[in-house]
Amino acid sequence: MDGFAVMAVLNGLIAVAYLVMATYVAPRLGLRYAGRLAATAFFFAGALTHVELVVLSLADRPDWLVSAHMFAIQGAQAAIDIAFILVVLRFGDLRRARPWPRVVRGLAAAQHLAGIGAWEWDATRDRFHVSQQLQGRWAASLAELLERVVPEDRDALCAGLEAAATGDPREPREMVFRMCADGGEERMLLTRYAARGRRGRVVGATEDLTERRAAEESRERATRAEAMAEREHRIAQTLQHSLLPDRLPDVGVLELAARYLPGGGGVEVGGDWYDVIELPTGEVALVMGDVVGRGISAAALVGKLRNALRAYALEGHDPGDTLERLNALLDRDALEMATLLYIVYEPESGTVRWVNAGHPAPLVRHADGRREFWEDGRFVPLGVMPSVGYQAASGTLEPGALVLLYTDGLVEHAGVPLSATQDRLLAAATRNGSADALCDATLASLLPGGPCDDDVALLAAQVTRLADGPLTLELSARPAALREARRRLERWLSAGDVAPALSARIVLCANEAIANAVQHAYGPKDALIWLSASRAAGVLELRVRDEGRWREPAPERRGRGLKLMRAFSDNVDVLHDDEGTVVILRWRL
Amino acid sequence: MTDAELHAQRLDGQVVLSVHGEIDLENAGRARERIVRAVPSGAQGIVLDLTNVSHLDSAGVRLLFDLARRLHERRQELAVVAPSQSLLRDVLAVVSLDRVAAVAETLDEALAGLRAWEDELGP
Repeated sequence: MDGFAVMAVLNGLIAVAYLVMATYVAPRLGLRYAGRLAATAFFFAGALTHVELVVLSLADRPDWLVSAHMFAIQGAQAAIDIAFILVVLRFGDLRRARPWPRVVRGLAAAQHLAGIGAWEWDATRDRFHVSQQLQGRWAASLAELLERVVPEDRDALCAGLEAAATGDPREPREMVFRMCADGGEERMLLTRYAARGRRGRVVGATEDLTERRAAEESRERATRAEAMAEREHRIAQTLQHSLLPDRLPDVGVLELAARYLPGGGGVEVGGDWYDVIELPTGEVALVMGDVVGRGISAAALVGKLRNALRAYALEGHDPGDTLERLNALLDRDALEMATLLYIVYEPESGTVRWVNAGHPAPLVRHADGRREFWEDGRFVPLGVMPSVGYQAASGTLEPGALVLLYTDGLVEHAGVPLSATQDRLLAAATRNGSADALCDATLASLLPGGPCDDDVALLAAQVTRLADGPLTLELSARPAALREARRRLERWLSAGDVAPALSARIVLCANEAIANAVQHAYGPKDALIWLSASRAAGVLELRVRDEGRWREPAPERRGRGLKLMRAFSDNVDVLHDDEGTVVILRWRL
Repeated sequence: MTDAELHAQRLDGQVVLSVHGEIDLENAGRARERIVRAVPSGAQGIVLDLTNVSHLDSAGVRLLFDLARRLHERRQELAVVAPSQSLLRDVLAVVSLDRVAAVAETLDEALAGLRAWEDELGP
């Protein structure tokens, strides 16, 4: 028998062996396609020296690795050809199988980097197989795992895994549960799982969300807090800006200047505010206030005080009464408290009345350079006690004199005694100059580096002249205008040194002329009356003009008013045309 | 708001109403009603003391004439006190209030005048 015959026999034996394997062994072992591979090997065996067949897995033994090798060795002299079949069954974890160490290492690294661990649960034996990533962080069995899961999440996890073990459905599911780690701390785990292979097998991947979730939450909290603080700040700022005058009114007899410097320390706005109100009496009210607190609530309280103060002042309440009413408005239960300096300047005489509710005293620089703090008229702040009895103190501002109102942010510096800052304030006010210049000089001297933590508000007013020119009043055609007109005319006459007896007559006549216009010249709609008074060439002339249609008055009533005007003036003229009526009264001085 | 305060008292058996403040177009109507209400219907007359009235215009004058007319209808006499050397007195003179009321310079004078009038009427 030569070599070829031996070879043919061997080939035949190999073929038989493969056929046997394909027919008997493979089905029992669950080998797939083994028969076809064997046949292929048979036809090419003569030309090949080495054939290796590898079967990757067995359907019911996934942890078995089966490989079948066939070697055919043909000697040079072909004396003996040897062929044999080697069938190797290797047991163990597929993932550790030699053919993919690199892939497996890569997978492990990827799991590590992603913080994801893989597991497989064999429900029939209740055994978990876990990847390296989960070593020591999982459990050997579901029962053990559930023990470590927090009670609230136990049922859902158990139900989910058991459902997957029945193989229905096969789509991956996801759940988040909390479980106690080895150290006892609670971890939050995200697990995706699905039924795999036979019934009773579930594979899953688990990711630890604890740190990420905590970071996300703290980031969210920080963002929320930041947004809220920002919003609050914006609201407070808007509120406060709306509460400060856009521009100071042009009051003619006073030159006004103001500054507001937000505090440098915090983001919250403070409660400093100021206002200038032109009163119906022709007086000018200067207001400087400081509300306790910061932020929105402080700004809201400023709004409350500002509006109420305007209302009371315009109603004609005197300074003491005005503050008494403001005090009653504050909610002591809510600890609403504020300091307030309220100054009313009378432009005809230069008389000043003021009430100080716990506020820093105003600084006055007189025309001759004398400087002083007006310390009188001091009372407790608003909101301290239910009834205070605020009463106005009074002084005089002559033309050229200047008064400076400010908040404590200007003079209260940490570590510096108040007397020292007050001295610096007095020194800063030595320089001559306008109200505007005084504001600048004051800030430059006391706060060279800008405001400290607290806000600073300044309001300066300088008397330019006394109101000794012609008097012009615009009055609403209502009976209430009479009193106001009398007061203003009285003051104007007094400032012009008109004798009291004559002054009383002039006021009476003006009153009659206005009353006449109010009663007769107008219909029910709101209308205006103008009064002007002037002096020239020893004659005082007073005109009262309205735009109403002239109506003949009831004889008796009209008669009395005109009779009084004729009796108490040197000359009366009543002119009326399409545009209205003018009553002209004259007195020789 | 123009304001006038009213104080009522009895002096020598007479009702004396003292007005403090101002009377103008704005408050004259209110003031008249308060004065009328303050006059007891049984009184022979009243004294209206205007010594402390700092302003009284034609609306106030009208109040006085109305008041005098109402009192006359009730057969009551009105005496008004207006100090001499005052604009008020001049005003009352210009409008001839003395045609309907007794105008006195002092409270005593007014009270004496009322007594004389009562004596004249007899008991």
